[in-house]
Amino acid sequence: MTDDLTTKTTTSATSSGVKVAMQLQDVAVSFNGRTAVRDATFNVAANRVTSMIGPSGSGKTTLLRALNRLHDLTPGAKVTGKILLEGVDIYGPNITVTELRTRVGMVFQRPNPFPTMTIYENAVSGLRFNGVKKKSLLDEAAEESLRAAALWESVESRLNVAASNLSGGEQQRLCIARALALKPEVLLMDEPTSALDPIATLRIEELMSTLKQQVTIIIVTHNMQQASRISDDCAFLLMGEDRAGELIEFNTTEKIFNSPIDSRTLDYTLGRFG
Amino acid sequence: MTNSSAQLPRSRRFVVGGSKSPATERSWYSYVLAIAWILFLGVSALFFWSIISKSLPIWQKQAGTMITGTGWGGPYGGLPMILGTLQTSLLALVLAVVVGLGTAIAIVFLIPARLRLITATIVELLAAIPSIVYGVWGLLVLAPWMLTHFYPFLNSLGLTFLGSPDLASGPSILLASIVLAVMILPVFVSITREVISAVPQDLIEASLSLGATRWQVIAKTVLPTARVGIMGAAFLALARATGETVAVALTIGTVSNVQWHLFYPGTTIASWIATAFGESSSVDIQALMALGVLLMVISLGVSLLSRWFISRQRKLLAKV
Repeated sequence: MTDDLTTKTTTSATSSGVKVAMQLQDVAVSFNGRTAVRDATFNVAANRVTSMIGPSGSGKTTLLRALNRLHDLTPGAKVTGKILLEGVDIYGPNITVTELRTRVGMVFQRPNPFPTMTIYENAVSGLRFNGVKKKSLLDEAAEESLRAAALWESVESRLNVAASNLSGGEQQRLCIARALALKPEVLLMDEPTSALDPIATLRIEELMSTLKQQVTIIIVTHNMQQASRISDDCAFLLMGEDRAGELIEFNTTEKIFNSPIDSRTLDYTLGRFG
Repeated sequence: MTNSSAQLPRSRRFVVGGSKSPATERSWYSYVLAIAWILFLGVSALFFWSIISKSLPIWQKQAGTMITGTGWGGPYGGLPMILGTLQTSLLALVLAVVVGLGTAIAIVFLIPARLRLITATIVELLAAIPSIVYGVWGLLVLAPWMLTHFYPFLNSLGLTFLGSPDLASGPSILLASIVLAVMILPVFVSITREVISAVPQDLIEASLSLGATRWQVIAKTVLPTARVGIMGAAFLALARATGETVAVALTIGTVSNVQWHLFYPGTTIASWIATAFGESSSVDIQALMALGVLLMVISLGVSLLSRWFISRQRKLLAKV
């Protein structure tokens, strides 16, 4: 089984000599001794979009949340294996978790700008958490990140309006801007378009393809078409017999969808289950 | 398919299980409800009419003095009572908010699950203690201790404007405020706890993902998001404090002077009504009723404000 896995998980990234942003080595997450996801071994190539697909309960989101140590505050949660960011173990002793999270940003399922803050305050909230006070720096970062999230034109004149006045799609782009303001190396996206309408979804997808030039993106998605449209590499996870999710196959998106090695991957991508 | 519910036979609408004749059942059922409703309206109307009509002579004769005057028995001055009510309830509120906010945050975020249950139970327990017990405790336990330790301590901090410990006798505005603070703490803590818990988890996770520390999450995300609801909790606690009677009557001394020195006795509207009532002439009673109307207006205003804050918090969270 292990041999099987290693042959399957040869990454497109390393084989084509692309820089690796994150490495997952036999990562497993358990809650109070109950394994939620395991066997995750793959490399996340820098400046590419890596998608994680699989049916409900396959542990995609759980795995994603291990990548910025969001499980730290959950009592009973345990992450084993190694997760390396630029070669350094993010669960290692020399890592400050707050600093790690500025390097590995996150966008959530539901657009969740801070409701008591204005658009501007939301955009710079991460910088303020990290002690940046200088107005000129904040102004600059706000404009830059809102531009990067393709939101600047529509909000430039109303930066001091409450963020809740934006549409759902705009709110989600504000959340992307908020994460980008910290200039992260990796951006984790947990089903970022599942609460959005098709047009807003399309705009986020377009945005991702330009964003990957400056940040490595890892996206969890329920939507196979979305994974095939936007991602370069793809990890397929499935719930095992003991109800723990596991990595079945990792490869370039093209191979996962066109010539997968595991028959279960084929069945899933063809919509035979899930 | 044209509006079928409107065309249901009448008897189908009030079917109560096991009845042989739904129509008969419906009639006695609705009569009982109607009587209860009329009774409720009648009692409420009677209540308002009686206290307003009883106090009306006072309002006609000396409305201004009732609010700004002092002294009881010529014209009736309500200022010492109004002021005392504000002093005790606001001071109690400040104390309860400081302690209560910390407690609520600790319950939700900081302490381990087991200790959390114990703390929450203690809070509930405090709410179940009758006022008279608080009053007796304040008078017999807290007052002597404050006289020998707390007043001299505050005095040594240079807070001489509170009065002289040597002239203090035990019952005081400060004592009543502290007892009140303990009494309103449970209301404030339990509502604040709910409001804080209702802050969506993904806002907390969003802050963490931006590199916020745990304290920053609490200070910059949770408290601002819960702010309006916490105001609501504070006003609800305030409403409780303004109307509290027995515990205050036992601990404040009930002296109808305008008293700025908190080490000395004062009075509140509620405690004054309760203690002066026994030896009152019919005119005195009218004045006490007038005080009662004032207290009602204050309590109602504070309660309404509290509701307004809590509904605003709901709207805020609905938008999130």
